[in-house]
Amino acid sequence: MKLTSALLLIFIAVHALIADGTVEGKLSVDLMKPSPSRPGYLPSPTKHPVLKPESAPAIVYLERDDGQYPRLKTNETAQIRQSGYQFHPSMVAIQTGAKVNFPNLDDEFHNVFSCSKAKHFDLGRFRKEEISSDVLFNKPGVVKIYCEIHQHMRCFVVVLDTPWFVKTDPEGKFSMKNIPAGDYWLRIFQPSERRIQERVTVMEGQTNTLNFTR
Amino acid sequence: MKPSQRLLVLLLSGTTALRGGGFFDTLDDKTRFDSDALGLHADLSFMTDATLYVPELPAQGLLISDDHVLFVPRLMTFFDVQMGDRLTLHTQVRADRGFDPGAAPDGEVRLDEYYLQARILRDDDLNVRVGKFGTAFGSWAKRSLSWNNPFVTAPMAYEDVLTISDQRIPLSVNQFVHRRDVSDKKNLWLPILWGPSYATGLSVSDRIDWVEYALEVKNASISSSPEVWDAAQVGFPTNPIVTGRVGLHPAPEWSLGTSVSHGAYLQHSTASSLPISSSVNDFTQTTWGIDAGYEHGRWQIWSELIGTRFEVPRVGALEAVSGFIEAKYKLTADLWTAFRWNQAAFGDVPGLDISWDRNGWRSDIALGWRLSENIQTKLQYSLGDKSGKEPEGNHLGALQVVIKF
Repeated sequence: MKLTSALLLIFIAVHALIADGTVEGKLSVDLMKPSPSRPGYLPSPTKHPVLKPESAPAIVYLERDDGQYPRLKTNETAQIRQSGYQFHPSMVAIQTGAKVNFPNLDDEFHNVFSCSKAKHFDLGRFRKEEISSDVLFNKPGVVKIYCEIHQHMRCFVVVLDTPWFVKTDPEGKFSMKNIPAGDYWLRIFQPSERRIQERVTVMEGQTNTLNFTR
Repeated sequence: MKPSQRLLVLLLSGTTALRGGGFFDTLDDKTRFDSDALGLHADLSFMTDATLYVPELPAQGLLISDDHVLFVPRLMTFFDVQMGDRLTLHTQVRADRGFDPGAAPDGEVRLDEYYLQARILRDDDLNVRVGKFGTAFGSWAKRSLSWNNPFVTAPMAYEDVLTISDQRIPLSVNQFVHRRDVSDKKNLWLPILWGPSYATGLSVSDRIDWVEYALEVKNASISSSPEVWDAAQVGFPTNPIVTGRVGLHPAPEWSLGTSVSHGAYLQHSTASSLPISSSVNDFTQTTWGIDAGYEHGRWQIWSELIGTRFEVPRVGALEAVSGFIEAKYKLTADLWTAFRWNQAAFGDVPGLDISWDRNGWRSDIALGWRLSENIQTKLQYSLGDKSGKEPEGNHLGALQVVIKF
């Protein structure tokens, strides 16, 4: 009986691999917009130099028309660090219902907050290595996150209902495997906040290659 | 409903409609110039606020109104240029109904702040600044703009009008003592510190690990009125006013500071009214202050205690102490509440058993709502009281909308 079950599981897994398709491609990743201005005030002196913000990737994701998605990960908690007076990483994609933790690695306070429609939160002032609350993102949308003290700091959390999403690599390449066959919208969220979308049909065992140039 | 009240309602509903959009981000992008090749970054940015004051008359502080309702719109335009990594130019132009609400009922445009700042050493925060800018004294000037101030009004020490004047010299002690029994003459008398005191001069500031300092020489005393802040209009005195502050940050939660300011406060126009063989430089204001701040989690707390001593012609040395403690607490991600207790006490007139101004207190409570990263609204109620005759109004209500972009 055990052997039969094991064989059945192997069959299902192999079938799933064969039945699923791959979507890959390359795009020109935009730069993030410059930091929002801080009317009336020059940056206050910081204890250590402010590092340059890291270049953010684009987020590529697939969405179905019916909006029904499986949950592939449970109890997912992403992490966005604050170090050198910048957020790292500056772009994170998570599935709706996941949490994000915001550890402070700088010697001074940070105050992480967002007023985005998809999530309003304010963690208050917290210091280095102090444990701050995990933030639950339970609505899909793009959440712009700032530091109330250091206004040049910002990052994005892209909250998606779909579990099929990836970040582009530094060259703008992306690849999503094990995508169930079907029709999808392939959507891209750029660091510049520009959005691109294209219709794509995933076929069993096939690879769709898409290239997006400026 | 009056036109001013209608405008405020329109502004409130308009800002609510704008809260979710990227309108301000787009506008911000269009008013910026960046060139890494030239090492030049220029940014035009704005802050606008609209405030409805509902005072009991005579109005508290530096609110100048004979009406029970005063509407004050204000547009602040900031132009910042970063040249290389060491040189910065900053200007602030305001269009409003006076630096103090209601001081220019028909409206005016002023260049309130302009300075050039140079960072002397590449890897250090030693800065030299020349121009017209906020005082280094205390900790409130740094958070005096409407976006940063949890309240609508300033603390009492920064706006409560005393019976000291830099324009009218008392002819006798009795004439001076009489001032405490009449309503404040806000166009002639002075507070201990006049708001952020954008006087003209030069400053040196630095931060070394957890210690910071600032030293400035300016053309006008910290109590002087906005009319004499601009040296381009009124000139620079032979004996400038010296102000300094040393601050400590022993931990991220704590900021502590002590400030001193000394210099002549009388305007030159008073020279002919002074006692024989004295000059304006003989009559000084000496002020000391300590400030302490604590912040952690949802709390931010600030406090200042300021003592001042005015040398008044024909009266002598007059001393006063004023202080406040202020706390802001974030109730939710969008809502905050704030409370401030202000208290002022005055010494006796030399040779008399009577204080030279009315002792008083004021409590301020505020509720704030951050609608987005660009828009917030504040509602404040103040209750105050002063001893003696002709006290000013005890109550003040204020509603303010602030937008920055």
